[in-house]
Amino acid sequence: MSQQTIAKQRAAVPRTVGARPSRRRKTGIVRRPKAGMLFVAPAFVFVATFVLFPLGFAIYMSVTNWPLIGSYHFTGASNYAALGKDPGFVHSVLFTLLYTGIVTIPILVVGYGLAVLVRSNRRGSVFLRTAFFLPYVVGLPTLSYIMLLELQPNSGAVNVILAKLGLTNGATAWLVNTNLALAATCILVIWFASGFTMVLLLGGMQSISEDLYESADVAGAKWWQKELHITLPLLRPTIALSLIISIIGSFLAFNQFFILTQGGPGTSTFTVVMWIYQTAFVQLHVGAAAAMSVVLVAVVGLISAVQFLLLRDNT
Amino acid sequence: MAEIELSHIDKLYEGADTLTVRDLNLRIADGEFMVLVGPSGCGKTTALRMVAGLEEITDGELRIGDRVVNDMPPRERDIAFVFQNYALYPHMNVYDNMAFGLKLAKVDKATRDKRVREAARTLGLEEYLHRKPRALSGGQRQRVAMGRAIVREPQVYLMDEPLSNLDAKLRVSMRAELAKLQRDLNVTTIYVTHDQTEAMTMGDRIAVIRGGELQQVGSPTELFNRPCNLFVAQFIGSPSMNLVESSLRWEHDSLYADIAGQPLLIDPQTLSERPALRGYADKPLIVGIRPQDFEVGTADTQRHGCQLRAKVELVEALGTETNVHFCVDAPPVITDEVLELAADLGKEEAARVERRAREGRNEFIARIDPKTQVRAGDTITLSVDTAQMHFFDPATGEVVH
Repeated sequence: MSQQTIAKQRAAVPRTVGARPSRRRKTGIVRRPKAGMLFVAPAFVFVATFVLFPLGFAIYMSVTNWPLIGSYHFTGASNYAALGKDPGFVHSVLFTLLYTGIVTIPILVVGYGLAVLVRSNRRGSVFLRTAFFLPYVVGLPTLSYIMLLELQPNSGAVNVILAKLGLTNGATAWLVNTNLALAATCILVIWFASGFTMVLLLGGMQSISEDLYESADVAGAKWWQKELHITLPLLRPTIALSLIISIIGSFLAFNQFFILTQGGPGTSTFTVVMWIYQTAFVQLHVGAAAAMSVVLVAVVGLISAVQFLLLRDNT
Repeated sequence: MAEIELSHIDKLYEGADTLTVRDLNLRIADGEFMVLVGPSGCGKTTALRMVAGLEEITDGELRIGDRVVNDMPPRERDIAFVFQNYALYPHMNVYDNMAFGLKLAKVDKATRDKRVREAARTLGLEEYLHRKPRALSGGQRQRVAMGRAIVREPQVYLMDEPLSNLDAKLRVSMRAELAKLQRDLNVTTIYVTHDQTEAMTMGDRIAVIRGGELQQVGSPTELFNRPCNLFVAQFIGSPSMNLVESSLRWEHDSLYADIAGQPLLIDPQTLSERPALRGYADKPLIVGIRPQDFEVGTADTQRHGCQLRAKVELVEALGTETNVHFCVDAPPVITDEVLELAADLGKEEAARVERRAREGRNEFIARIDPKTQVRAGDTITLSVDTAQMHFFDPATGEVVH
């Protein structure tokens, strides 16, 4: 190798070095989206199969008189127009709203209280955290069945205890009275969901720096002033999130009522989702049920959008 | 206005087997600016937090003013605490952050407003009153934290490394500003830092703490000129004191310290002030010379016993001063104190000290006039201000009186 070629090669080195990043960038433009798409593909296939396609199909069904079996024809918006005239649907909407109105605040308040109770690293707080969250892990259907057994007249634990305390004669038929059934279900759901709210709020509380509390201590704050002026304002996004999750959960309520009351007495404890089920699979008006579902999806979507805006403003 | 007195204060954390603070006795005069300084983990912040009431006192008595406050919650102690990361309330604007303590104290709205605006004016925060902390720079946040302390007009300010999150330049200017502010307000202040420069420039008095124990309390000049042990000698002053193992010997009725074969005369004045030195004749002893007590001189036989000849290894010209590094052919002083302080300065410094120990090389630093032309590799003669030499017992690390 002559001196000249060596010199040439040396001179070439910085050029290659300089060129390398730009070449990499160029290939990146071509390659990265492909790789990205590959990564996203499984999730996309999953969502498309189990969410997008059924949703599209439901919208399609909602503009027909889909009868489950047999031929169908296009009916335009008549399913939607008929929703307001269906007393069962209207009642289920009102009942769902009532139910949501009853449980939402207690779930938040109880969840907050539980979070306050277990947030310190005192002895036993880990045990309590687990205990309070356990109902959520067990699941609402199981809890509903337990509740169903314990509410039986004469044999159920609730009645036995109430009778022992001398409060009732032990023969209360909880689930055939609208108000009692609603009360029992609400208590069940508050018990079930406040553990989850507790975990959400606990996460939020633990992200608040201890310094702020110490600073408030020195500034003269009592415990409730610290709660009011520091914890609550800084927890606002978390509270908003848990409220939204809880409201959406209530709007979609099904298991607990299906198991405990089956909508009864009469149709008095039918929730929206139960009514959709009833319309589709008992009355076999699948088109109408699809229209109800689409409306419900729109409402839940709207709430999620509101939540998104609220949380974005706080970051 | 209040005096603070810590008597025999101990702190034992739950589950720990050694005391974090041991028998701490300290009296801070009314209006005094007291700095607690020491390496990380020495217990200085714990001591401060005990004064604030954020940490329980295991044993001893703490007085603020004429009250024993051991079991008093922080809110009743009439103190203001400035946190290292400021602990500003992120959801409140600057005004509300400053007014919060006053609101809690039920100060009426007009007074509140007056005090907040006054503090904001003093601190140059007037135009930021409606900003949230996240929209402020580090220096501005630091000011808000100060403002929050000022408006409450407490008896005592407690500050936990309030400048350590600022960049170097801002730290220097805030340092002066804060010290001036404290003098103007004349409120008793305890200030915790691990930075000896901060301690030297700000404090009326400095308390040096090591391993939970108080080493020495005194004015910055006292600590600098008369350190009571090796730890304080090493910790105070930058660059830190040069230490070398030496031995003393008598020659024609004069006592000389032998530095790598070169004798340094012990000043007769020093000898009369520190009579115990006589007992170290022909015994090992640690000699300390501050970098600023060197001067580049010319070889002069008349000045026998005041000179060191050395080969320059490295010259750091900093503009206002020049640091000359040179090797002294004597074993370096590697005591627990030296290792601990090096470890506190970071891995690099610790490694450097260890390397020197292994090689048995002792590197000195002399701070000389920047106008002097010195280059690495030169062999120079340094005259030593022998009246300023320090002497320590190698076994105990205590100064020889």
